[in-house]
Amino acid sequence: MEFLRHFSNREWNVLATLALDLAIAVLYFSKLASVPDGLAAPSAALAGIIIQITIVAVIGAALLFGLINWRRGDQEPADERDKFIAARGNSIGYGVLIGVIILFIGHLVLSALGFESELLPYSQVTPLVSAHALLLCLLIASTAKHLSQLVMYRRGI
Amino acid sequence: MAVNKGHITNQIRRLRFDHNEMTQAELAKAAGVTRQTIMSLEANKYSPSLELAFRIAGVFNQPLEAVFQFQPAGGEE
Repeated sequence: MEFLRHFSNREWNVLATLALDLAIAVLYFSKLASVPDGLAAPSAALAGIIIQITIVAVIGAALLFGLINWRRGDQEPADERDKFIAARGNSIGYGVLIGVIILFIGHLVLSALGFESELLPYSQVTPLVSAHALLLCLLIASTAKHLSQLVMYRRGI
Repeated sequence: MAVNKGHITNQIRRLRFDHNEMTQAELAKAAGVTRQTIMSLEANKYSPSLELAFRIAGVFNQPLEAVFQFQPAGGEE
């Protein structure tokens, strides 16, 4: 954990965003697993979880970023290196997003053509399942973006 | 014709010490960047834009080529 001492404010913010995204996702999907009807159809339980998670995410973000700003002072304005790293991270995240969405659509097309997979049979792909698959795609892309930004800050570009 | 990629090296650390032991933070402020960017430049982990390179050279009152050098990949000039 020695390397964490050399993190700049901006790196702390990227790390915090990454950790918060993953923590909220784990919390949401673990709560989702306990819903009796699952994602077969919209339900009051599902709506309750979404509201609960949204509140937790807002409070968590306020506390986490407030703590970072309180401990380390305000963030310096972004310079050309920060903007370049942000742009490269966005580009990597976008590429990953396109890749995972193509994989998902490919899975749907193959399933529709009769090449069923046991992981997610076509008959079980409800609109809610599709929405959550897209949510997962966004999470994977966001994770790739923030991880690549941290690597670029640490290893150089 | 293949492009020789190479990389950019610099004399920033030496020039800082020659300029009354200027700190990284002071140089960063004068050049309008963060201290982390100066650290990355000194470690040759980041190649600056032409504009930033001119600003840093201006802080040291030196021509650009006295601060930044291009090192071709094969080592030849």
